[in-house]
Parts: sequence; structure tokens; C-alpha cells
Amino acid sequence: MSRTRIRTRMFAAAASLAVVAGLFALAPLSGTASSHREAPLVSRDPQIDTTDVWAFVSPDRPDTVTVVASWLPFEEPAGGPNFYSWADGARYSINIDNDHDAVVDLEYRWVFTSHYRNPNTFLYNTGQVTSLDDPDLNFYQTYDLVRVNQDTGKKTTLVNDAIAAPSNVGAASMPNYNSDLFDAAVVEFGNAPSRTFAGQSDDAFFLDLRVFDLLYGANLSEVGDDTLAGFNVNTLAMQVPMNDLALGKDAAANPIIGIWSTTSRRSTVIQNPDGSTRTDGKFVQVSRLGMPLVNEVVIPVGLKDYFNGSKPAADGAALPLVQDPELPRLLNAVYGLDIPDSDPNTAGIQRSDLISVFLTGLTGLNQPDGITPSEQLRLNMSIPPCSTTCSSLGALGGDIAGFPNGRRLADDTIDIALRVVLGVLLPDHQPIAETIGDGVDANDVPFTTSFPYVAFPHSGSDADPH
Amino acid sequence: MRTVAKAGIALLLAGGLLLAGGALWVRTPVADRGRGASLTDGSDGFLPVSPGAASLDAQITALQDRLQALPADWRGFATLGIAYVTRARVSADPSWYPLAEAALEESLRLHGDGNAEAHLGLGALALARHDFRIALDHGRRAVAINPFGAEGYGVVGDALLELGRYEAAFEAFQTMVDTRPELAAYARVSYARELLGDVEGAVEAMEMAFDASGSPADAAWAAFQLGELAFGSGNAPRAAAWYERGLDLDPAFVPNLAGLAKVAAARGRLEEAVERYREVVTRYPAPEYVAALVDLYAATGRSSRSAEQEDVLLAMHELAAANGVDVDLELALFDADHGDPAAALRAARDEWHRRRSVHVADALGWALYANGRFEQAERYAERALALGTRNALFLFHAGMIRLALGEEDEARRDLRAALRTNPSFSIVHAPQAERVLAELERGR
Repeated sequence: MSRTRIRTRMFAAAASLAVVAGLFALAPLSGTASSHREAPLVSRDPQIDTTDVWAFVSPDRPDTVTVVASWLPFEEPAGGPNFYSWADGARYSINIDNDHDAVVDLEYRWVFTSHYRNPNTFLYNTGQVTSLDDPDLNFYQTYDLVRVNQDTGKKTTLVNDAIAAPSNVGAASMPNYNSDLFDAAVVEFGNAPSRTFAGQSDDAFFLDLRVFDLLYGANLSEVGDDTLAGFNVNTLAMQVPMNDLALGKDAAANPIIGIWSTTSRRSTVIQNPDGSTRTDGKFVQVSRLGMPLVNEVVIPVGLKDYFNGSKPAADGAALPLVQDPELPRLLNAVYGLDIPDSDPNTAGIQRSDLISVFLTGLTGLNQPDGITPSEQLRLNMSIPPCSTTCSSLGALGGDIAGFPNGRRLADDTIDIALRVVLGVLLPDHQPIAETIGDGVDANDVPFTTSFPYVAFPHSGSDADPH
Repeated sequence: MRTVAKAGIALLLAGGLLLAGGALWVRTPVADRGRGASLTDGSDGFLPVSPGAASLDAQITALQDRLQALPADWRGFATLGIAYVTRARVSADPSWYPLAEAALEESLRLHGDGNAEAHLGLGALALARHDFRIALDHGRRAVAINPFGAEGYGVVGDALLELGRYEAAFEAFQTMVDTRPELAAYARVSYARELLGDVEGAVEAMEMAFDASGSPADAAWAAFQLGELAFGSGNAPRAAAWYERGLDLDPAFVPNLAGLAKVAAARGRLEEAVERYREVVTRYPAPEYVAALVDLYAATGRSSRSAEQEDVLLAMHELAAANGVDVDLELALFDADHGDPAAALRAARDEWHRRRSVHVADALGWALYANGRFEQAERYAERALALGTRNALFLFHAGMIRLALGEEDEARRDLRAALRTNPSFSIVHAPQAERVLAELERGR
């Protein structure tokens, strides 16, 4: 979850709010004074705002892995008239490190293009829409999905000009959205086959955002509402054979992979040095997300811009931040909770447990040999989906097919992370480390049982989606 | 009349102070002015980038409550200060600036080291007050604290630009767009290209900003800039289309309405222009719109109305000055055109002493011209055009100055260029340029 997401989420969470949100108020102004052009210093850029990444062995196709990632937090279902689009030309990427050197090996990259069927109107739809290529769907976006082998530079176009599922405008305009548009947006490619989906969905993350307000002295007993209930996001998903992701295409021999998303936008050159024509600029990474909550729990406020532009290979420098993160100190200051320490005999706070969870994976679960520590979501693909042992607390609940071994949609990430931060993985931890939570244990709507698994988006005609 | 205006200002200021109440940084926002609520008052998470007053006021009130309870929250104070700066701008009411300053200073007092937010806020405040040196200082501090954030480069670049240090300003903008390519940075690239005379490139960059806008309010702002670029290069129909698109996107954003007023005037529909500007001024009383009314009333033969608006304008300038806003440049241009050449020259010289931008060079040149000092005037007119900016008003000023010097060929060239750039660049001066050109042609 990115910096901006927490900002916007906190804002929408009403009274908890604005504290970190403020810079958004550096607004565009009239901008007309003859001598002095006033432009915004910060603009909202939800299109590149990554919210979450999930990765898990597909429950109904256990020889494949599914990766899901979302952007554009807090989409109000009745968000017309413009609704929610992907940024044209930006690169939305899922990155895989399969040899544990903290450098991307495989990149799956989605790039979108907007289209208006009737350029004389900016209406989203001009009548009832019953298919993705319905002429009444006036605004639509197509995408290409390209696989970039970053070791060889080879690019393979997997999907060409596929149509993304539109925003769910409402029942009058899109009477059978779920089947006509959402399910129809699943595209197959390759032999296995592989699958991809791009489109709107319910925000699969569930939490009470007010847990973050505790940083500012609120009362943790007030939690228990899913702040994200009834909001949509834009989601990308892919389902590919394990061997496609594994080092040497051999998931049996090399089952552990690291996963993170990046989003990049194109810069531009004001003027060439010789004063001549302009050129297109380079692509700049503007957000990065692997493990959930890293931005909230581990990265101090002042380093969030750095983190969003950084590459995993530089993460070694972040070790001290993981070693002694901000959150336990805040919990100590506000609630008097103990600050955990994995090695009390060594001076200073030691957190080998957090280093495992956030930077290397856990020994015997998802930590590969010879790993270069870096922040990625790590998945051991050899662990089959749970059957009888399923627990939304994942590995903490004895279900090693779940977070922090990858992350499933139903994993209660907030509770797990709070408990881990408070030392639940350490022997002799304080009792509250086994019980602390935000009071929200499941998503507001059920996930679907087949790819892309996320729940259908809330409808724009739902009068009270939250 | 000026004394009357001053008394009015004194009252306004007293009101502001009374409202300020106990703590220096507290002031209760009065009811909203516009329909800005539509975008932002729901729980849709769309933070106000171009905030409607209603939601911004809700933000301010919530922050004030929070800070009453948590008076050590330095980030809260920085945010409140920035919200006040925004409030001043969206309502064209500079009396919020002193409160902004108090809140931002309080944030710095609480957390002096590594407080990039407060420096960004103080930078934004200084930019709004046209105090560009102070803005530069705060921008640099913000960059030093967080070199990975784009905002600091924006403050630095904006300040350098207004100080006339273009090369360094463009470098800051380039860093900004290479740090975080998004609307705020694309918009600055656009302005840089516009100043360099690359209108096509400016449009392209502003279209990137438009495409990257994260909310209808942002898009409406970018649409307005695209309208301005089209209007400034003489394409009134395209300008009107962009202004209308902007109004569709965010009806609360008044500048697009003012754009349509300007287009009406350009098409000779002066009564429609007057009506539109009157609505604009009611909703967003910015000096430039009042100035447009001054000229429109004069052009339609209503001199007492024109004089009335002139007094309003002077009162606005004094109110701005009383709240720490430096208005010398605006005053200089206005006075030069409205019969106070000595004051114009004084104001322009003061400003030139502070900063040497092409806009100040143009104003100083024009003020010198109004005082009959044509040779000096020409030097500044040349400086105003030195970047290659395709600005019809600059070209008109240069042409008139050269005409006064007897350089008829150069005058003809400049006046033609002004009208070719934008045949409707000014309600008063465009017709004047046409007249003068016609006389020059006859005299050949």
C-alpha cells in the first residue's frame, strides 16, 4: 500500500484524517495572474497509486500461480461521469526475482490506451452496454501485456489489444455487468493456458484504517469497521504456470520467487541541449509495492518518496529501519506495550524476526538459500493450497499456504502484521501480540472462486455501497 | 475614492483579526462560495487538489479540532498552513495568508529539523505572496530534506522562474519531471516551453498533464491552461472548447468561465463578456477579472462603472499588500495603462530591483514608455522578448515603443507579430494595434 493510499484512505476514514493528507491541498489555482503562473505542487495521481499485491498458488489450478495487484484506491462506485481509467502509456508491472539477488528477472507489463468510439461526446456510455465491444461503451481502454525477460532483454507480447473491463456504472447501463463485462474481460493466452484480467473490482483489502490513527493517539478500542467496504479499485491479475516464473523454468527445483509491483510514467524533456526539437523522456518508477504494510510499518514518513522510486537491490541500506521500526515505539509510547527484541543480549533493539518477514523470507518456509535481503513478497510455490487447515491468519494460524508465504486475498494482513511487529514470532512474547487486531477479519463481499478471484465491483447504482 | 477604499480595507482587516480569535492560527471558515462540494464532500476519497471551498473548509475545521486536542502535531500544523494558503487562493481572499504563516511557523517551532512539509508550505505561501526569494530558500530546504520528493523542485523552479533565472528554473523543472512525471511537473514543463516560444510543445506537455489528471478538478485546471494556450496563440474556438470542457468537468472552477468571457470579448460580444465577467467576479473576485471589467465598461462607454471597478481594483491591491502580498508588477501595468505613469514607473522599478523576469522587464519597459522615456523603454522591451516568448502583449509594447522612437519598420513588424500571435490579445490594445498599423500603412 502506498503512501498516497494511506493518505487518501485516512481522509476518507473521516475524522481520523488530514494530517498526512495535507500536501494534496497545494492546489491548482486560478493560474491566471499575468505575471505569475500558479500550478499545483502536488496533484492527486490515483492512477499510479498501487494499493496491494497478492500472490498465491491458484486454489483451483495448483500448478499455476496467480498474482493480483490493484491501483486507484477509494473508487466511489457512483463515481461518474468520468469513472476510473488506467493511465494511458504508463507501465503497470508485476516483477519477479527468481534467483534471489534482489534484481528483477521477469517483468509482466501492462500498457493501456484510451479510446472514444464517438469523439464528439465524452459520455462514458451512450446506451445499455452488454459486451466489451458494445458500440454503446463509448469510452474503453485496450491493453497490451508484454513479458520482458530482464536478464536477456527479450520482450514477448503475450496479449495484444485486449479490452479492459469498464467501471460498473450501474444496473441501468450495464444490466449483467458481472457476466457480460467482468467475466468477459478474462483473456487466455499461451498453451497452458495462462490468463490475465484488467478491470474494475471490489477492493479486496479489508482493514479498519483507524489502526493507523493510533500513531496520532487515537483509541485502538474504536476499530472494527472495514474502512474499504463498498469501494472499488482497478485490478490487474495474471495466472501462469509455476514453471514460467521459476528460475530455469523449474519450479520443482527452484520453488521460491519474490514478487513486487511497480508503476512507471514517462518523463519528458523540456528542450534538448541544442535548443532543438523535444524528445520523449525516460520512464520513471513512481510507485513500488511488494509486502503489504511496508510503507506504513517500516518506512519512515520522510523516506516514502525514496522508497517508491527505489529498486530492491538498494534495500540493504534499509536494514536499520527494519531492525528498529517506528511502529513498536509508537505503540510503546501510546499504549505502554513492550518493544520486542529478538536478541536482548545485544545492545540496541534487534529484530531478526522482522528481517525474516520483510526482507528474506522465513527459514524453512519461504527463505531461499543465498538470498540478498530486499523487500519483496516471497512465495514458496511448492506449498499447495490449504484444504482443511485454512486460516485467515496464514502462517500464524498454522496455515503455511498463506501470508507471509505469499499473500492470499483472504489473509488478514493487518492483524498478522500488527502481531508480528509486536513480536509474536519471538519466544516469550507479550500476550497482546497474540490477540491485537483491527477487529475486521474478512472482506465485506465474498471473493469469487475462480480467476481473477477478486470480488465483482460494487455497482454505481448501489445507493449505499458502504 | 481611494480614501473610501482604504476605509473599507481597514474594516476588512479588522474583521479578519476579530475572526482570528484566540490562537493565532485559528479562524473559522465561513460558508462555502461555490459548488465545489460536488467532487469532494463525499467519502469517495478524492482529496481536493482543486478543492471546492466546502470540502476544504471541512478539512480546515477538522484540522483545527485535531490540533486543539493534539497541539504537538507538527505535521498537522504544516497541513493546516497549506490548507490556509489554498483557502486564500480558492477564495481570492489574501487575509488567510497571515494565518497560514502562523500555522506553518508553529509547525517549524515544534519540529525544526527535517520538516520538509513546513518548508513546502512556507514556500507555497511565499510564492503566493510573490516573495520569490523566500520561496526559493524554503524550496531549497525542502529539497535538502527530501531530494526524492518532487514538490521541493517545484517550489525552487517556480521561484527561480519568477526571479528571472530561467536556466536554473528549467533545470529544476526537468529534475521535477524526472523525479515524478505527473500533472504538477508536466504543467511546469509546459510553461517552460511556452516561455521559450515553443507553443506546440507547451500544448503537448499540458495535454500530458490533462491526461494524467487524477480528478475532474485537476482535469478542469489543465483544460483551462490548454484554453489559455489556445487563446494566447489566437485560436479562440479551440480555447472556447477547452474552457467549456473544463466547466463540464468542474463547474466550480471559475477561471474557465472567465475564459469564456474573454472569448466573448474577443468575438466582439462585449455585453455578453460584461455579464460573464460580472458573474465571475461575484464568484471569484480576482484582480485580473476586475481589471477586465474596467476595460470592458470603458470600451462600452460606461465610464462611471469603469471608474467604480477601478476603485475596487485599487482596494484589492491594498488588501493584498496589507496581507503581505507583493503586487508591484500588477500595479505597474495597471497604472501605466490607466493614467498614473509616475506610480507605474516607481512600482516597476521596485519590482525590477527585486527580480528580473521577462514579465517585469515588459512592465518596466511599458512604464518607461508611459513616462516618455522611449530609449530606455526599448532596452527592456527587448529583454522581455529575449527568451523567444510568443506573447502578443509583449510584442505590442515593443511595437509601440519602437514607433515612439521613429523606428517604423520595426514597429510594423512587432505590431503585426502581436496581432498574428493573437488578434484578440487585449480588449483595449488589440484594436489600438490595428489602428496604429493601419495608419502606418497609410503613411507609407
